[in-house]
Amino acid sequence: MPWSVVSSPLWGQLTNDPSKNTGRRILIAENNTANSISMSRTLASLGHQVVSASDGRQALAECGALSFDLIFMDTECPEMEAFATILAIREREKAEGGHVFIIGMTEHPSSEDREFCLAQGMDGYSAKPVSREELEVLLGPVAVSEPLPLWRRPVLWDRAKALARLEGNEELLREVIGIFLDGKPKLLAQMEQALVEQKPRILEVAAHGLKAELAYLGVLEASETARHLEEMGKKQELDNAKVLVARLRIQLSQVDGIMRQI
Amino acid sequence: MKLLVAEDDPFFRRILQQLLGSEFEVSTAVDGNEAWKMLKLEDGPRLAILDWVMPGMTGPEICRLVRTTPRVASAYLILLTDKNSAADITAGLRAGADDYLTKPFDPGELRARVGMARRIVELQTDLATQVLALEDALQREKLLQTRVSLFRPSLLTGNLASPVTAVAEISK
Repeated sequence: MPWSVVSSPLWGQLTNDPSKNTGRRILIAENNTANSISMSRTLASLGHQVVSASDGRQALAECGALSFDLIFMDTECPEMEAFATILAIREREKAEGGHVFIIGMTEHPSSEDREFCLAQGMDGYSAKPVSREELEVLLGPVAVSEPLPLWRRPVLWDRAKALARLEGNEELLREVIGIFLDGKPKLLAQMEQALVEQKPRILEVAAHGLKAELAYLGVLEASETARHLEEMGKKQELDNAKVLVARLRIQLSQVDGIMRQI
Repeated sequence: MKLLVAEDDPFFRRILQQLLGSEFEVSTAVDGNEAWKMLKLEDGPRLAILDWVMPGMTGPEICRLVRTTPRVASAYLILLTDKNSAADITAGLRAGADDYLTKPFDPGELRARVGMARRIVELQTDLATQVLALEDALQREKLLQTRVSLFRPSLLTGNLASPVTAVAEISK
C-alpha cells in the first residue's frame, strides 16, 4: 500500500473552516485492504477526510504527523498491535492533551472482548464489516463534538546532513539506516521493560544508544526525546518517563516510515 | 597502518570501519575486554578509537590500563564520546587518552584527528627504530671493547704462535 507520512494525501486540503465542510479527519487502521477501501469510500461519501494505515507502525506514524478526530482500529490483526498502539496514543494525550475517539473493529465480537477493548482505552466497538448505517451511528458522538484542533507535524529528518556525515556515500547510508532500523525495536522494548521493572540504568543505556544514532542520522526531535530519557535514567527519576517513551515510539514510527521509502 | 575501532554499537562500528577502511587496516572490537586483548598483542594496533561507554571495560579504563602496561604504553588512543562537557573531556584525557571525538562527529574532523594520530604514531615508530639502532651500535661497541681488551695482552706480548700451534695439533 503506497503510504507516506510527509505527503499525507490530506495535507493540501486540511482546514478547520466549517464553511468548507470538509468533515472530520479519520484514520482507518486496518490490515484488510478491501475493508479499508470500502470504509474509506463510505466515509468520503459522507464528507469526511480519510487516511489509511495497514499496520501499527503506520498508524502511529500518521497519528504523530496529523491530528485526527476519529480512529477506526482493527483489534485482531497482529501487525496492528492495536493495544500497544492505543497505549502510545493515550500516553501522549496525557502529556499533550486532547482525546481522539478510537473505535475497535473485530470479526469476532463478544461482550467479554468489548469490555476488554473499553478497558484498554477504546471509546467504541464494532463488528466487521461496518455498514453505512453502523458507520453513521458510530460517527454520532464525533459529529456533535467540537472538532479537535488541527495540527500537522512534519517529521524533520535531515537526510542531507546524514549523507554528508557519510561523505556522500548513499550505499553506506542505506546500510547504516538498516542497522538503525534493525536495532530500534529491541532498544524501545528494553526501555519499556525498564519502566515496568523500574530499572533506570537500563533505560539510560538504551536511550543513550538511540540518542547517538538519531543525532548522527539528523533526526533531531527524536534524538532530543531520547536524550531526556537518558537523563531521567541517570537521575533515577522515572515518573514522567512513560509519556516520553510513548512519544519516542511515535516519533520513531514516523522516522521509520520515511526511511523505509528510500 | 593498523587501527582498532572499539565500539559496541554496530551502527557506529560500521561507519568508522567504512570511513577509515581506505586509509587503514581496520580491526574491530565489540566491547572493552576484546579491545584490550587486541591492543596488548605483540603486533597489535598502535592506534585505536575507543568508545567511552562499552560493556566490559569502558574507554577510559582501557586508556588507564594501556598507559600502565610498558610494552603498549605509547599507543595513540582516541576516545569516542558524546560527553562534551569540559569536566568529562578532562576526565578522559586524565585517564590517558591522547585525543577525543564527540558524536555526532563530522567525517572531516574524524579524518583530521586520525591523520594527526597517524603522524604521531609514525614519528614514534621512527624514533623507536632510531633508538634501537643507537642502542644496537652502543652494544656492539661495548662488545668489541670487551673482546679487544681480552686479546690485548696476547697481542702485546706477541705470543700469537702458541694458540695456533695448539689448534693445529688438535686437528691432526
